[in-house]
Amino acid sequence: MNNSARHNDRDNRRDRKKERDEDTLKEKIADAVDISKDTILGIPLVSMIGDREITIENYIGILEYTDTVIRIKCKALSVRLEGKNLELKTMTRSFLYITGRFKCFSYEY
Amino acid sequence: MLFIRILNFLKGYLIITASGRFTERFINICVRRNMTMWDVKSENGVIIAKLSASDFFKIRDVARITSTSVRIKRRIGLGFLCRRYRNRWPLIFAVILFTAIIYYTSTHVMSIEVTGNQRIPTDKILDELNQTGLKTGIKAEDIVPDQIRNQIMIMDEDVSWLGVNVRGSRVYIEVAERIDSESIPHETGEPCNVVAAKDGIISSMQVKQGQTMIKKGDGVREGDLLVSGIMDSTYGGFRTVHAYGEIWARTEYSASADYPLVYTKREYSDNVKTFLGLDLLGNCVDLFSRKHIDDSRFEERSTNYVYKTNIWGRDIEIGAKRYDFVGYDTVEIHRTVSEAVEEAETELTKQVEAEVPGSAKVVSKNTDHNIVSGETVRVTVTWYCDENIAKEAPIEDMEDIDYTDDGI
Repeated sequence: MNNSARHNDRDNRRDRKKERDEDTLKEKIADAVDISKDTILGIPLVSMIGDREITIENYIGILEYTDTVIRIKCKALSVRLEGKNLELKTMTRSFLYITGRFKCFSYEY
Repeated sequence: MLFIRILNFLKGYLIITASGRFTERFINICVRRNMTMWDVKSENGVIIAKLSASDFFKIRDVARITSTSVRIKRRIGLGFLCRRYRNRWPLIFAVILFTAIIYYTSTHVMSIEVTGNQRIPTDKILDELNQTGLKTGIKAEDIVPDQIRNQIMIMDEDVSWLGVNVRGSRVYIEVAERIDSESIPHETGEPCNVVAAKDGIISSMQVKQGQTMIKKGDGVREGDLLVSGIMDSTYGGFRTVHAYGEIWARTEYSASADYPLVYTKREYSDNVKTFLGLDLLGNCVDLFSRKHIDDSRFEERSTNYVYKTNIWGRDIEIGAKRYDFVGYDTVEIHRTVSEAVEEAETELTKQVEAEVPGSAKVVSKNTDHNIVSGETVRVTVTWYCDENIAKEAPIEDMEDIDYTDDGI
């Protein structure tokens, strides 16, 4: 590994640590003033109705979309949804409404 | 959701298919650029989505950037529909005509229904309504019910009140007729009482004027006072009025007769002897001798024939009489009690039916029988009716009434 690559890696680690520290700080502020964390931290707000409907707010974009898998990029993490007949019923810039028969819901970091 | 679907239909939308390597990116950019996409499905790597018709031309850049092939699968919406049928002008004309007819028939008066009138003919009311401007074909919203009512009530003295109800394209006219003064003579009639026209048991009363003297369930005989025309009050003394009203009572009509179980009957034979007689100026002269005819074996039947003529200016009637003597044998017939009762019931029912007035309402019928004097059955048919037994009768001894406050 040459010196420039080592420097870049160090910078990246520093950035991620800084970001984590900022999140922790924002989380602490949210706890202190007792307001919803999704507003401050920008993490997704997910609401599910059984295995049929799901709404996701504060998303950034769709990473992958087939009728069995949907991966959605959010600010700090990604959401992975598996199932069948998955359909993006409604889409706006910050809101997603997905229907289908879900089997698995998970977060990816 | 239905409202949104209708709105989308009116605005128009496309069903598109998008295929390529970066379909997710295509979707993301469309959303970022505020293009309205919904019902996005993925089928074998091909995206099928609904897209607002107005956003379709914006999609061209996105498709180019993301190397996505976009195809229109279907066009849906009112605009597309009109465009599709723009060359079928008869259809468009029919749709416009249909819409115009629907609009016209739902906003204009299509029929006028008059109810509540008994004396005033419906045509007369419709004519009067026509004069006030209410007729079929006018706009329903132009109808002013109060104005029409006032005009009709001024125009027609027989109308005491008029209701004008507009229900869509129908107008319902409710007429209340003024009570004809001739139909209520009682209010101005001579003072009188109401007495019972028949025997009966009072079942209901509707006394319109006068002092009621009976109550429900009372038994009354013919001529009994039911409603008095003399009304007394503590403070106003008494006054005489024309008593009237309806007094309904349970009355009964019956017929009874004795029917012997053994009786004789004539059986007529073919032995008929015919003779003639002359009727001259009211005097009948037989042209045969009755000595040869046995009265116990022959029944006499006669038929008159009259011939009118004018001789020398005088009307003269010449009559002839035909005598038929029909031979018969007397036969003794035996019948059972039930046969006698059945026969009696038929005959007596006819008698009772003739007695019952048409205004009476038959409530029940009864047939009784009992055996009297060995071989005779007495059968009684009784009909129970409800009828108005009120009958006006003059107040007797009017001179005897003490008109002072201390009287009566």
